[in-house]
Amino acid sequence: MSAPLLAIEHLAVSFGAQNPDDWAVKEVSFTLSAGETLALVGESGSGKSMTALSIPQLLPYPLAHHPRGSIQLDGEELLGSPPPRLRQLRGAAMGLIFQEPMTSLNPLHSIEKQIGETLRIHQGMGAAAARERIVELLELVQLPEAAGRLGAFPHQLSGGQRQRVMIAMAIANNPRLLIADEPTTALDVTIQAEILNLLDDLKSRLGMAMLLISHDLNVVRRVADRVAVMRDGVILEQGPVETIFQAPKTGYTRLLIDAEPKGQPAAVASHDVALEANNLRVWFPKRKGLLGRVASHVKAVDDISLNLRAGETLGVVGESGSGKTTLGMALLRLQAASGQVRLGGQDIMGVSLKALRPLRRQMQVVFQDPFGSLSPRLSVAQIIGEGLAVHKMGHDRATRDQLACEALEEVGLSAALAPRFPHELSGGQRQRVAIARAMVLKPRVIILDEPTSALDRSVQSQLIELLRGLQARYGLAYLFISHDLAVVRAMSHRVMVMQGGRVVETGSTKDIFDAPREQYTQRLLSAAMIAS
Amino acid sequence: MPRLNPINQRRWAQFKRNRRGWWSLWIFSVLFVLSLGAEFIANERPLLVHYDGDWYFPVLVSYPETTFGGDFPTEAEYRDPFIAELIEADGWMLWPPVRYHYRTINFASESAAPAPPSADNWLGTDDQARDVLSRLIYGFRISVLFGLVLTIASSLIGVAVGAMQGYFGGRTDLYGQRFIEIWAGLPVLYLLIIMAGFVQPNFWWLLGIMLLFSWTQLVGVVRAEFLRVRNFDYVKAAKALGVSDWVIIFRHALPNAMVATVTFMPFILTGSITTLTSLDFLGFGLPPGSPSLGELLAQGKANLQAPWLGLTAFFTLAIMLTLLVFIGEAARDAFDPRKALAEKPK
Repeated sequence: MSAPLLAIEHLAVSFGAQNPDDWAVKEVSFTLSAGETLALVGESGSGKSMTALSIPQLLPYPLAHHPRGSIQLDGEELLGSPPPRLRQLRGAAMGLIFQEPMTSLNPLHSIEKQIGETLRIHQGMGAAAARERIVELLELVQLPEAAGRLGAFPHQLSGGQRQRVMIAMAIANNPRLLIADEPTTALDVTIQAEILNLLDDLKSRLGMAMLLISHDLNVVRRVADRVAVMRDGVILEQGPVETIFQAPKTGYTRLLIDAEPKGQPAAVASHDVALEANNLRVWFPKRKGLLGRVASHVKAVDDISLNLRAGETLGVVGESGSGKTTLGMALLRLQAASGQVRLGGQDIMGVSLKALRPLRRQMQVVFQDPFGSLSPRLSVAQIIGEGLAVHKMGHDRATRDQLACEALEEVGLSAALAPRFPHELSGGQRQRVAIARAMVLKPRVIILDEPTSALDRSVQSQLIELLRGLQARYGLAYLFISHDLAVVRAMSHRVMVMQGGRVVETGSTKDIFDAPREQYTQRLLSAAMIAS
Repeated sequence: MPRLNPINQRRWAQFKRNRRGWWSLWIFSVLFVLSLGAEFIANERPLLVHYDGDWYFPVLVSYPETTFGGDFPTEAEYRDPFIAELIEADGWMLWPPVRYHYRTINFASESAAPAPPSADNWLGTDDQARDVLSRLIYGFRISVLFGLVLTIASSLIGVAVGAMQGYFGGRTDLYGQRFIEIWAGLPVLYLLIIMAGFVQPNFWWLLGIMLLFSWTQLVGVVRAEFLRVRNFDYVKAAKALGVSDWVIIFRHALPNAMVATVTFMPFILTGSITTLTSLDFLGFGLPPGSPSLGELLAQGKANLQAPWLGLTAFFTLAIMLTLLVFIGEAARDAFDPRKALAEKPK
């Protein structure tokens, strides 16, 4: 075997801490040869991105430093290399792809300019030569109508297209090493599959080595040759993909592999309809001309009818932009809509917003982002107690605090967290507080808008257990909005597939997953790469 | 001291951690509290008189000269050597540290006005032979009071308007913004000069006119903060809980705008003080004879041969404004949750 392209030995990263126990990365060693893909997997905070960013030396130095270790690219030591040399290597010998295509492109420059910049810097290409090469690159990354898109700005491209542009930038100078930091996490499942195929294809065609950072084991299993499992800044084990997946040596790796959401919700016992919507529409007018005449509509939610029994979960799946979240907001009347919505037999679309307030107790919501959905300046007890005060449940402060503590214990948190503030909690804990805030009002219906998407797999599974438990105990009806089909399957009794504001297919979870009728559903399922 | 909730306790601790701001607050508070009692520090009347077995409080009560055996039924002139002798003959007087009121003219001065600093007039006298130190104490008080009242009033109005515009958005916001654009285009200084032609501006007049234009300063930042906050998930969650608009504004959105507001407030305060000073300097400010730092500066400019006038005004303004900015910086740190978290001792 030839000498490895990249060799990392005993690497450590520290943010000012002297004590080795406080280092962000403690002990990482691996090698990577040309044409090979190594996947670094682990949960958030395990140090995988930190390791990846050490290679091009892009950590916030001098706040970060390397107490020990070495990183060699083709035999050249990168740690402590002078900045001009590093600049030469970055973009030329190693290309980088980041997670968020939205923010990793500069919104103020056309894509020609952004890709051209790296060609100009590293190869000194003139404008004409660069243009030719850019078109070639964009065709290589399969951006449709590449030649006509040179002047496009990032906001004119979809998320998947932006990620393709990002990849074109990364491979522009034929790098020997491609570092992809969660390249598909922010994308829809169907696009994820395309991007992964593209990366795999490019790697073999250009003979690059690829370092893939991911928390998604399905992705890893599909494209990686070897896997390194990280936890708390240490590589626990590494080896060929099949060995790791079939015979993991450590308990932690087994946990990660088994963290795939499993099981199914308890059967629905009741026949009471908790929530019913008929012909719900959210149309945004597009105005034209001087007088603002309504020319056409963007139909975010178009004639959707659904019903939900007590104790039942309806999963709503679809790609981003399919109108799932708008549907949820319209049901809550947080988004102007037309149609009929009945909550426990009571019409809520016809009543005034003021008259609606007392009814709001019966329908609650849990959002995706555990950081954004809790007011950072209120304590946990205040956050949970707010709804109680509005609906005059619990006659004084002490009773409300008591109820808040009970709600905390119900969602599996200690009552000792009550005086804490959201920034002192982990993502999973925050999401539990958000659930407690909804649960404390004893609602009939909870709209769960991607409640698990921002969490690690192992935390996801715990949260799903919790939600299913609460449903069985209180006969709650859930509207479960998610793009993550594995989670939807574990949570839902019935599934509704949405595309472009319309319902493509509805049916029981088993029918949808085992025998999808519509082509779109089939495509969605095959792209999701669910291990059956 | 009332019990603070934990978040305010942490803010207070964070404020104290900024040593410079903490000391500035102390120094400024002491100076301000002292200046509030200016009548007891610099006055032409004694604090206490013991005469003929009786107690008198000339600072608080005005006594006719005849009380002390003088000739006239008018108020006693305690600085008059004749009266002083009468009282000293049968009792004693307790004077404040500075024996001049801001309007007291020192007829006993040996050198021509403006007189240089002496044992009698510690910072010298101005061109009308009035004690500079005494005018400084009273001038400091009126500047700070003016600045504080103007800052608090314009912040209240500005935050309310900004919150309304940002939270409700749409037409409210559109019309509000257009109005502010036009309003902010009016030339404040000319208006003040024109107003000075109609009325003799006093403290409240000036305050009112300045307030008409200074409230717009905070609207922009507060509005921007509210526009951002109203789309946050926790605001949506609060709406879904059935919380009313006003409670959302005060409880969820306003704290977000507080950092911006508190960051701006010291600058508004220093700005207000500077504006009053410059108006006084130009002669369009407080009525003639009022103690003011601007008027002292103007005197310093007119009397370059008497540098104690200009230097006194300069150092007072510089120290006062610097202290306020330091306090503002510490207050800003205290309201920043990220900072409070980042610097938490391990």
